[in-house]
Amino acid sequence: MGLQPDDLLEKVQATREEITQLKEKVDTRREQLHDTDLRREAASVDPIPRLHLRVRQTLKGHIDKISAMHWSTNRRNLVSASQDGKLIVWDAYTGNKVHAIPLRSTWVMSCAYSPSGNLVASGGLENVCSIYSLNSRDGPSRTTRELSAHVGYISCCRFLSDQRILTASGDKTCILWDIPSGNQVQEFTEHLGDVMSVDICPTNSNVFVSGACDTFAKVWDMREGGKSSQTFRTHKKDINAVQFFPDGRAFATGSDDGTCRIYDLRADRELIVLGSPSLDASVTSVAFSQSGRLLFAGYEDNECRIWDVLRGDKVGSLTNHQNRISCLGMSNDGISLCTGSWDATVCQFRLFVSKLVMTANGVF
Amino acid sequence: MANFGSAGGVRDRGNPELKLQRMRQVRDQVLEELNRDRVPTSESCARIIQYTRNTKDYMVPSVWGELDKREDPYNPVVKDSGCCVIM
Repeated sequence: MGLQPDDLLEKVQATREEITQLKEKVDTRREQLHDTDLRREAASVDPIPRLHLRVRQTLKGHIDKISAMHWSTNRRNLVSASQDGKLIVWDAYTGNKVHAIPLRSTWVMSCAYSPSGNLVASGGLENVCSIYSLNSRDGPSRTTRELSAHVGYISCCRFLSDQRILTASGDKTCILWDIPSGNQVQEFTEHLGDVMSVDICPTNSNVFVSGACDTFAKVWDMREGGKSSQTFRTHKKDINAVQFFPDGRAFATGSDDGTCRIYDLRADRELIVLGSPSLDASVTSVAFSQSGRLLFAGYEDNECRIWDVLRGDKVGSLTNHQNRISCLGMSNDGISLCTGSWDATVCQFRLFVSKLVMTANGVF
Repeated sequence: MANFGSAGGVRDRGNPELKLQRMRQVRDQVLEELNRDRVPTSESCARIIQYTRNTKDYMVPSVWGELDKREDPYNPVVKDSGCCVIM
């Protein structure tokens, strides 16, 4: 304890100023390379005519707010989590329930499907991430593993494999877990606010992106000992959702500031802001279409808006939910979108080409 | 949206030494950030536009057309099995 509190405070203040100056320098560097923007570059790309998606089916079974959903990589199953205290695994082709898993805590905020399709996970206000095996002899009624170390709620979880899962938490950290042993592999502690969402890079599972209530999105390489490799700071309010662009070199965010933004890792900057000045509803969830041309965004005002990522146009709108959209996801085959809402339903959408819309049953 | 109680914030409050340590970490990181290799925005835009052009996407019918019914897993076409149907 060599330093007096006053000296310490002075040093803290000096370091703070230094950081501010360095950040300004970083911004200057970025600006120097900012020779164009995505809207301008995409001006020659054909605009997308208005898209019409129709509800193919409503997945009914939950009796309280849906808080999260996640597709299986098999394109057929998805899992949803609801504050009725259940996880439901659905067959999207038939709309049937494959499993209904009772949870220990009803305050569930997140769920995930493992890439192999063997495991599902959930977590919420009990601060524990619970793993369920869908193939165990007794079925998934009991937890296979409970991962406990977070001191805040689990806002999001994503499997890397059947052995590894990443969790994001209201304790401002993310943790990479070894599932068989239940131990932490790595903790990621740089965020200054609750971490709300994580996504694993589709082309390199060592890399992930996180979005948090400090308004920052951070990119991490898990091999770099818990240090983030990039930070993106242009949102004005909490980030609620992040998802990688399909090529793994860019990602989208959704925020309480009412915008979605696309950030590029190699340019190390924001490429486009998706939104409009009059739109200030919080974005709760985002998902790209197969090619990344479209971004589906769920909002707290019950609407799902569809954005043309290149041109920044709003090209579609889904308004069938009666309450906040809390989650959405695009199936791996790129043909089906599911949205989950506080109205307790999960809706599965399919695209209908305009000539069919004329004869459809009046949903849109 | 994070209006759920969180215990994490307690960690570095009220301990200036820990605070200084944290701030120095942040400073080192921003330094690294300053020295990072970056590509011009135009290069990233071109890559993203190219990716969206080269990847099939049935949610963008104006570019990729409609999904062939035979490929649609949601509407399996019953193969014509001639005159006999197994019930």
